[in-house]
Amino acid sequence: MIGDDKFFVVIIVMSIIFAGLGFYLFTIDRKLSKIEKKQKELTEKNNAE
Amino acid sequence: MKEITELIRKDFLLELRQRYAINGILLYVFSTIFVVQLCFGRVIDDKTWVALFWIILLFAAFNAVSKSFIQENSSRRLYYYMIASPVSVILSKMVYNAFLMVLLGSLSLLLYTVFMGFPAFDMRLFIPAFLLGSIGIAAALTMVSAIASRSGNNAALMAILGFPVVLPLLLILVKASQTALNGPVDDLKILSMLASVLLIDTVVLILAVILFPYLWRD
Amino acid sequence: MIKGMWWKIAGLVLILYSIIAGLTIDVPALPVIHQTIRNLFYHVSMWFAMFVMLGTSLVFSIKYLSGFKLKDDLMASGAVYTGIFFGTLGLLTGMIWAKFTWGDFWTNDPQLNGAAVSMMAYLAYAILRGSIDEAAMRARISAVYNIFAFMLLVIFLGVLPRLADSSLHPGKGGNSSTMEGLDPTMRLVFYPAALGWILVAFWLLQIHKRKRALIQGVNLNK
Repeated sequence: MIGDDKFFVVIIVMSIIFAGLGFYLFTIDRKLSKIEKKQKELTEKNNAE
Repeated sequence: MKEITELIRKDFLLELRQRYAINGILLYVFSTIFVVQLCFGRVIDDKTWVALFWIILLFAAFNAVSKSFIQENSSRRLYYYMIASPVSVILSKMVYNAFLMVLLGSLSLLLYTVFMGFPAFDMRLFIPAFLLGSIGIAAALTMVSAIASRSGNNAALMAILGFPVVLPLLLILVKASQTALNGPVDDLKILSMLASVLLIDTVVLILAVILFPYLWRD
Repeated sequence: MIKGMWWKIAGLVLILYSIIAGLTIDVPALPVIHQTIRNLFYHVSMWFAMFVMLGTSLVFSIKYLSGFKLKDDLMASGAVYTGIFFGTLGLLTGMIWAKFTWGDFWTNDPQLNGAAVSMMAYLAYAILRGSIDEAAMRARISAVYNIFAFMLLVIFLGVLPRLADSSLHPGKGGNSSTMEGLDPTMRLVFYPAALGWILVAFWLLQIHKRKRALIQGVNLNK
């Protein structure tokens, strides 16, 4: 079973799908950080006024 | 202690004054058992007898216990909140519901025996398991009813929340009853089964006493 | 940027390692399960991640009841939702495994029934949360139910399967094989896989919590 070409196709496809999911998580994380920063600035501005 | 007995007395008085509730449940049990008799006929194998009995008792318990907190409207709850400590409120409700459940369970057992016969149980296991199980189901459902009463659509929620909570108890009880069917059971087995039922009862009781004050305040 | 990110990357790398290594290493040839034993790396890690999430939620529920801070409630509810996610994945991977070894998607196994009922209890938790409008009240009542649900989880997955007469799962009931009998090369993949999924579970929880905090305007630093 091991050494079959199809076997490696499965591994590669699974890894690519997983890497895609991981990348997606990273983009969400980045987006959240950006919004959090924006909101922090907003509240600080409101407090200053 | 005085507080608890006083609250239990109040629950009994309420029950006796508005008798339609308990009568309704009794009629419900009677109709269910009658339907079972019509569907299965008298000849029924012992395992089915056990399963049906516990299912009937479970739904009777849901009907009987679910109203215990739901009937208390918010102004009455505020009144209790002023005069009694939350621990005595939950303990009184649990004792009352446990008593109600044991009574209801015995009556349904009687009716069920009349309609469906009674298999040859080992009584040393069946009777204590039945009593402890009724008390445990009553205690668990009392707590669930308290949770459900604090949210919006509580009738449906009671069933959803209550079902997983009573299931472990119910599974052990069905298993204990089925074990009791197979002739005399040795003492160690009886002890271990009753101990597991008692353990669940105690855990539910302790959690309820600790957590109920958080539900009770506004 | 990299600060505070290392454990997320570590989680992803560990899972990636478990996908590649889990499919390529040599596994002991056992009867009935054969090569499907590789599913252990994925199926059991899901349950580990679920347990850790639900345990986290229990801790934060207790924390909420002792301090009444809404951010603890966000953590508790987020952990339950993440736990339900991993529990569902655990059920699905288990069902596929069961189909190929025991011949059916669902068997009357105490472990399976326990898992299903615990999932039901946590879904009931989600419904309970949906039915209460006021935030503080919702947090308090769902925290109480959450503690009950965790007790159920312990009874169902810890106590009842061991009392049962027979089980198809290792280490429970009449089944003699246990985790201790796990092959050492398999441990080399299984432990990293479990750790990786737990880290990713915490990441998902963090994302969920931060999103809810932004929507509801809860201050996480307070």
